Amino acid sequence: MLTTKAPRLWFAALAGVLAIACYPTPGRAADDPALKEQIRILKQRIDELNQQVDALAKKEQQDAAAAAAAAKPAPAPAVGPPAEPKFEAYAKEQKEKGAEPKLAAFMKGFFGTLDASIDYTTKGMSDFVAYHFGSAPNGGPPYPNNGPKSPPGPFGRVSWLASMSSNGSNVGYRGQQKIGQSNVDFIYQVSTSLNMVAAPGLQNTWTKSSNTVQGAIGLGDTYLGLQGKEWGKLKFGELLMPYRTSTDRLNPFAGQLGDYSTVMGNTGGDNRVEFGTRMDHVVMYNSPTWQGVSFDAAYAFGQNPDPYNNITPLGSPDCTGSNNPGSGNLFLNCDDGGFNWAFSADLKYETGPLYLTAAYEIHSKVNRSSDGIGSNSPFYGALAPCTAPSPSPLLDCADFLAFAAEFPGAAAVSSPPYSTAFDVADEWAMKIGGQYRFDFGLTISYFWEEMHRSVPDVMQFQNERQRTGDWLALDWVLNGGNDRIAIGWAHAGATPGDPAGQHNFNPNTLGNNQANMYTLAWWHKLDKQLTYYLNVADTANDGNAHYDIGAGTHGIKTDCHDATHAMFIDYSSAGPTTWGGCHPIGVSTGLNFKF
Amino acid sequence: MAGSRHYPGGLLLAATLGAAVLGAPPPLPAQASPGGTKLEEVVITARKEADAVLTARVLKVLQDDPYVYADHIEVVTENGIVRLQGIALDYGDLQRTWLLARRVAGRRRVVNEIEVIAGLDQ
Repeated sequence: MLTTKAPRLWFAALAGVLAIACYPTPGRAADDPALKEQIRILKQRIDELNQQVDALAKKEQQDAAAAAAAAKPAPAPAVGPPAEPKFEAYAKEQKEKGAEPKLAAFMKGFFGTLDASIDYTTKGMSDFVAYHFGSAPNGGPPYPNNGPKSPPGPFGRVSWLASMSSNGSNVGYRGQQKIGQSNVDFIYQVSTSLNMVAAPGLQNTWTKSSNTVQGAIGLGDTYLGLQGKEWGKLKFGELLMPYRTSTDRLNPFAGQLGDYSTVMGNTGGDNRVEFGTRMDHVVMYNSPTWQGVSFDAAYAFGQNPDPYNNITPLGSPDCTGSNNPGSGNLFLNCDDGGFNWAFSADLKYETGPLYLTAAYEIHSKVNRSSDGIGSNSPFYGALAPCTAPSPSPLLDCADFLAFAAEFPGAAAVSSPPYSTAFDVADEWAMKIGGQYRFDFGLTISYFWEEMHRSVPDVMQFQNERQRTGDWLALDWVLNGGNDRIAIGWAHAGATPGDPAGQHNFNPNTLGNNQANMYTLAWWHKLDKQLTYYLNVADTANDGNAHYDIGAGTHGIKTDCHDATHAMFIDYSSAGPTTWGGCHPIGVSTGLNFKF
Repeated sequence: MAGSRHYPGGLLLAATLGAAVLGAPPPLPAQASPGGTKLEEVVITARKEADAVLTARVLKVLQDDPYVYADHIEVVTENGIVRLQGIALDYGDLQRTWLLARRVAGRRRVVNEIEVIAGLDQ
């Protein structure tokens, strides 16, 4: 217990001794400004400590006076007020003891975000022309173009469209408790997404089919685990992987049309984000921070009985890589990104305003054999078909011929997938970047990314999963925190194969598959919890790229799909047609509430 | 140190107090004299009090700020190092919290351990 007189004497003595001990010789002090500065700091700290001791002395006197007053017998109440209810009395007692009432502690575990916006967006492809396929000679370009197909353009409303969107809305509960007398805590969190503008349910549309229930507890980071101050956290559950969380703070546009997931970590364009996602069946370790350094590592159990990962994993509602079997009018397989196990890790360093990070993630044996279905690529069209005497070994003719025997009509206007012998391969990604925060409120973020798919050379012509990417963002907090503005730029590098190979392939723009996304946002805080925002995003795709706006945490994505929902309407695709070279632009405005 | 040749005990005292107030706890003698033990207690207690004061100041600034939602943010100060923990629900709050804590902490180090939960994929 710190008494009041003793410390005062001690600090007085210490200050005196220190002053004497540190008293410099005139010549040395005059020559050594660093020493002078050190002495000045020490004196300042001594003054601070003396002030604190004075404050403690004052407090002790007040406590003593209060205790003396309490010792006096209280006058007996003549006619007292009605007895205080038990709960209020308990809460008051706990508060007086300095302990947080249990109810308040329990309620503090809830957290969440409610967000709804009105969007006005266009796919920017209303004047596009479809081309025939299968007219390229073996070996690729140059190749002839047989002219536009019929119907020549995208189907449906592909220009400006107004919509309402629920963005990243969620509610969760988290907590921790000490295990016995140990230094280990039990930690847990459950969360779920909320749809603020429509009924909750499955996501089964003409472009995507998912069995994951939106709005059910367990969607979102949900885990239990152990925590120790000295050794970090160990979690088990459904979790965002370190590859994602390492750069979350570099993304001021989370939940917006201009979310960097539109391009970053998004191997093939469209709406799914392959690297930087939440996975099922994860064991994760989060280290403590040592001198600014920390790391995270996570492993997702594959638990897929199929050697080509072409079925849903045990215990999951959807294929790994998102979607359920048959999504997008594909065969009833997980051949649009299903993988086995995954490993993800990051390394982080933070000192003052500087944050640096590097991350790596690998998905084992990713099945992309659907990338060939309905191919509009001249390369694909040049392959010897399954009906030829010597069909191309790249094609899965066994399955396709079985399908054709059962459904001859459908098979006549569809095309065989690639063989799993060639189109099941590891995919990995790595990134490195950082962030710097200036004291006047400006934050600059940048990271570089590389994604890779390990397929043999004969399959590179359809490899749309391999490229580099860049993300740059400037985020400025203004008016004492009342406003914030940010601008961002994401760049998708070229891929070895063509992202539009299975869609509306334009033979006049072969190899043109880079993209740039530009975005600008303004947030205006109405109070601590309620924020109004306005966001504009523009994705400029090269002729055969098909990146969208809104991928990731924005509810409604504006992508390059047209509204085709009858099969085979363009004679080259079994599902909705994706139009490479689309130019999505949008503006979104809404309210965000946190609790 | 200039005065150490005249006052041998001054070096230890100055180093102890100086290190304490600058945030790096020095190794204190395990078996100190009765006077030394008291000195150790005083220094440790003063250090804890200084940490508590700093924590309170950071929390108050966060609470008083009209725009930062910091109900899920925890502040822990140990040996002069301020650690921001808990969760923030958007990046603006993360940046602003760090900025305010840094202003209050002055020359002392601020470590960001806040987890951001900015919304679920839809």
